Amino acid sequence: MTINFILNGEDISISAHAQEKALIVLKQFCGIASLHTDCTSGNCGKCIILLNGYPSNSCLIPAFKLRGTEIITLEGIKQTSNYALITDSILEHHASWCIFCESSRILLLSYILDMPIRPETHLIDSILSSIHCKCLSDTVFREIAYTALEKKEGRINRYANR
Amino acid sequence: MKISDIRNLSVENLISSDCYYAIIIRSPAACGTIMSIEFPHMPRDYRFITYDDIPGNSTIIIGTSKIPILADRTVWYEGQPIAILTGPDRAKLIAFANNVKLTIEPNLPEMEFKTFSHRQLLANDIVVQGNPDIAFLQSALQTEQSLYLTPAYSFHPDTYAAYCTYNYDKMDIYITSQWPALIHKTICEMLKIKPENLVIKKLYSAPSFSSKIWYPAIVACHTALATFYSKHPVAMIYSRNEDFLYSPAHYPQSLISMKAGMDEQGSLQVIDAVFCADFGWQAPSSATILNQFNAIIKDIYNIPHVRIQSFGVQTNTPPHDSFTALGTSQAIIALEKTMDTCASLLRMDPIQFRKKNISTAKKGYNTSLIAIFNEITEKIILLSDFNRKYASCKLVKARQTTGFYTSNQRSIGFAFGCQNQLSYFHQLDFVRHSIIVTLEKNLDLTILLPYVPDNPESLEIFKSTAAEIMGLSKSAIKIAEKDAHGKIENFITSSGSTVLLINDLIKKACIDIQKKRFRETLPISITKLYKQQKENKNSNISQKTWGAAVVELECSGISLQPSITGIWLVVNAGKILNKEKARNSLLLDIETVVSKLYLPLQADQQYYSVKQPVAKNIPITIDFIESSAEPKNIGELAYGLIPAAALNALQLITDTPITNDSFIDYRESMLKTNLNDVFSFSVEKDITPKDDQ
Repeated sequence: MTINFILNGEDISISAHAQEKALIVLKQFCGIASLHTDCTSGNCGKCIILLNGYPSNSCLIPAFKLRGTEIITLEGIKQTSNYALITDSILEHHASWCIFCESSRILLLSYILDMPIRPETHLIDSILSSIHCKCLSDTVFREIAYTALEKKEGRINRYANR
Repeated sequence: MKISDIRNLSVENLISSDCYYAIIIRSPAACGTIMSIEFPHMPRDYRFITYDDIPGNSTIIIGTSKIPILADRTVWYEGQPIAILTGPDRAKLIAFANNVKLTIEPNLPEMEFKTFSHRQLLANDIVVQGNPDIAFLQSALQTEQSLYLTPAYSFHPDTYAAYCTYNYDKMDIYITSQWPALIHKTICEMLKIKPENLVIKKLYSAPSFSSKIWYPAIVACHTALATFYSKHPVAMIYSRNEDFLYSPAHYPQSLISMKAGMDEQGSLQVIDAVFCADFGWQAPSSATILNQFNAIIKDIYNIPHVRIQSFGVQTNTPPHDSFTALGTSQAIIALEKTMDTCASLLRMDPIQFRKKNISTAKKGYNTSLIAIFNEITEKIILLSDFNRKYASCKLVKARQTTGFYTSNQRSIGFAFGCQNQLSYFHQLDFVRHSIIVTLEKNLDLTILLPYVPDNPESLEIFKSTAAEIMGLSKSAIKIAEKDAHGKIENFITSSGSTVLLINDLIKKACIDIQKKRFRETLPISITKLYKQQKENKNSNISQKTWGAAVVELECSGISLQPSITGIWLVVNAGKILNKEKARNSLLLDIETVVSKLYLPLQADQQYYSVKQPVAKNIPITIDFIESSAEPKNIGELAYGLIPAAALNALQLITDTPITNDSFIDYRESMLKTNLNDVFSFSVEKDITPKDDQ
């Protein structure tokens, strides 16, 4: 079937089997290299995408569900100001993560940053625990999220004060 | 593709449209003889490869271990590779693999490691000091206990994978491995190709890297065989479950029995320890693990009479790679638990008891262990308020005359221990590290390394060291990788030990250049090679990283479920090169080890079937005792100290007197069951070597 969707701001039209996994479609047909395959059952969190603005495991989404949606991956986030905030926060904490979970971590942080009101601690914890990768301490990941949030709030306040 | 590009890629990213896939046909039996293999009819592009198709050497040799690349006629463990299926469509390959008919005549497998025959010994190490038997007869107080430590999967972000391309007589292997030289040697011997025709290209290595030592050589051999016969680029990627079940990325299950004797004044007189670990069918690092265990037991405390017997037992289970805290974690857990039991018997404070018995040996040491111990314990007592909390727990316990309680029980435990430096490499003659440092004519300093670490902090450390000695700015220092076509060296990439080792070599090379700088014409080039240590420097106190941990527990009065409410860790690791990075590393270690404590056993053999526990919301305090001494590794400390302190805290709760009441009995049994399950810990008895006769 023909599937039309917006990927990182570009209109995409591909022909794929309806039951094919979105992960495979995005990797093989659209060349998204930042997504990784591991559990293929929504546990590892290495294939997270922002589907209509919400984090979703692309290994659990059938291709037909992509019709008419807007998808953002790491490649798309890199063009946003959120990405700069996140990388600044990572450097501030001297932290580093692996390429396998990098995409998902940055997308989740971006999702938190884009929330209309500052999320509560337990919600942040819940969102960040979607990733099962032992390359970075959960405490440090949480600290990065708070630093990024503070940086964003600081920036908003600066604009408001002008 | 440039090397710098490859270094940021995984095998998944390399797969091209003409790429073939390879999957492994594995043995369903733990032990037996292969009678026949019937492959289904497959299209022309598909083929299978068995042991008979290997043109050259069919084993990987590491020290005394010989590991077959594919099973010959006999299978030794469940999941042993028997054949390789290769072809363009992975889904079809899986379908073909399901139709392969394997006939194996099963033999009785050896799965038991607690009682073993001498034939099963992969390695053993016995240390006897003084006369333990007489010392036990003379000791006033004795304690004996056993610990069973369950096996655990050492999670690594990327499963085992390799990608191989073939162009006429040239072959390129793309893989993540710490020992590329082993891969190079093995494939050349297996395919009978010239060394110059094979290039090993290093892919991205994830930070959690402890299991990518020798096993990637097997994966690379399978991929190379598939490419050799299919004449196509071939990718092999293990599924997570394949990795979980059949790869050697596991902490071995082990049983430790420890008997201690003291005099009436509370001085330890004798320790008799038996360590028995299930190393699966092969474990090239088995001797090192046993050696580490023995070193820890006898080096920390002042014990006149010691007998330590360590056995690495062979069973018909998948082989074992090395793992973080080789043998040291098991030793610290057992020893520290014994120390607390002894202190409890004598009604002494656990820290005072340790202080009384800390090693006073001065074999040319420039640092006294007592001074280190005092410094660390003072700091951790201050941070955790250990003395007050411990006294409070004891007081609460003493007041519980009825044993009937519904309020939450709090407890606190302490552990002291150390980590050895570069323990694995002392015994392996083929692990090589060399660097070339060149001071160019324009006063730029070029450092060529066998492997450039992925994390920028390590590069910063190297640059700082060189800049400080040479008096150059950091921008004048360039770090690059040595030519991959030159002599391949084995290396350990992202581990702290390699960073320290390379840093040491850079320091020596820079000092040599400084000496020659105004005497010889530029450019000056110095090569430094890491030499295998002839003597074991691990017995030297100043060569070890010392640390102490305090763990606070709360046991629910209703469910009796223990949960960790606070962790404190104080580390003496000499000069800390990057405090923030060191803290992050320790935090990750603590969280990993705490999640292992809570991890239930996976009965249905699916890694992701159990929601992995996350150690969140536990307040963790880490502090360093910094000194001008050489920087030391810190990556293993948490693996021994945190479980030891947690078990000691647990012991304080379970010692609570419980009266004879049916409800209380139920709760007592619940308590024991729960605690044992949750902490993967149970009391076992008897480790008896079974005689062959």
